[in-house]
Amino acid sequence: MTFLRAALPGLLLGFSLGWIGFGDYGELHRMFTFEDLRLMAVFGGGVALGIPLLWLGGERFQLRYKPLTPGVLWGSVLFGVGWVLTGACPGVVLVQLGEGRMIALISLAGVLVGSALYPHVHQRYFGWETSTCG
Amino acid sequence: MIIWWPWWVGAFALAAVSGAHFVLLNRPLGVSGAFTRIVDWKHEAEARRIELELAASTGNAGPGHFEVRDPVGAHAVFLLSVGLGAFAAWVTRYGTLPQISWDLGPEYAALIGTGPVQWASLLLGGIMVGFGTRMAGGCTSGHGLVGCAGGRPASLTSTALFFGTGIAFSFLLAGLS
Repeated sequence: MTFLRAALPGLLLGFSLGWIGFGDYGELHRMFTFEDLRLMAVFGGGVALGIPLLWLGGERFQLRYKPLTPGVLWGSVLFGVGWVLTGACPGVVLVQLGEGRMIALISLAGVLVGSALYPHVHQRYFGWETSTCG
Repeated sequence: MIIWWPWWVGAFALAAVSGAHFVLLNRPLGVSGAFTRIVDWKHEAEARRIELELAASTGNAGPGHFEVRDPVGAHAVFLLSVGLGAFAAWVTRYGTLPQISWDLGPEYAALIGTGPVQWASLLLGGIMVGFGTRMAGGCTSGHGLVGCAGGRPASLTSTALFFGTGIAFSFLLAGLS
């Protein structure tokens, strides 16, 4: 039952991202260079609609506390570069694969390696409190 | 002919996904988190085992009942479903099955490259996405879509930075090619 509850939002997310066009590198590049504002409007609109959604959800739709650490700053910059190099944020790697672009398996391997590397690097070199499980 | 959803349909869909995720899984949407749980599966499995014991000993019912995390497999199912959903989107959009391809299209080839340059960029880029999102504590869904809607400072900052970096780097690539 848990697996079904996990599958449904995943299916909806993948279906939406596919139809929106985030899986297409050309569309993504046109978003980033402001040649086509459609994807930016999708994102901004999604955030805007999320505001009343969270309010309606109340207790049920609670966000977790996430502190603004140096990791947020540098990690976001790193992610931004990686997003352009792969054409994918983490979810879109799966979208690319779903659309037949098997070369995204390289990106997928990278994402898993990068995520696995992080806690070791954090423990060794970073000191800030994350308040989450790594 | 390529057809995409108009912006407002996409916006509504993403907000609906966020809502559905909350309703079905009792936690906010966050794709990088799913990757983290999978990569940390040993720790997660052990933590879940302890939570199950604690829940059993406290009765796991009523107010203050003990929360047991979802099994790691659920996160893997979630990610696989994203792929399946995109597959379904392709089929409904074009009326055909996706073709297996080993590139990311002509724009990628023009801006970044092909062959070994492409493979190296994808691997390095993937590592940066995996490492960076975990370091930042979220990605376009967790920080971007949900966190910004919630007005969380870390999310607003993160989103501005990863979008800003993506924009700057994309302009750089466009300028270089």
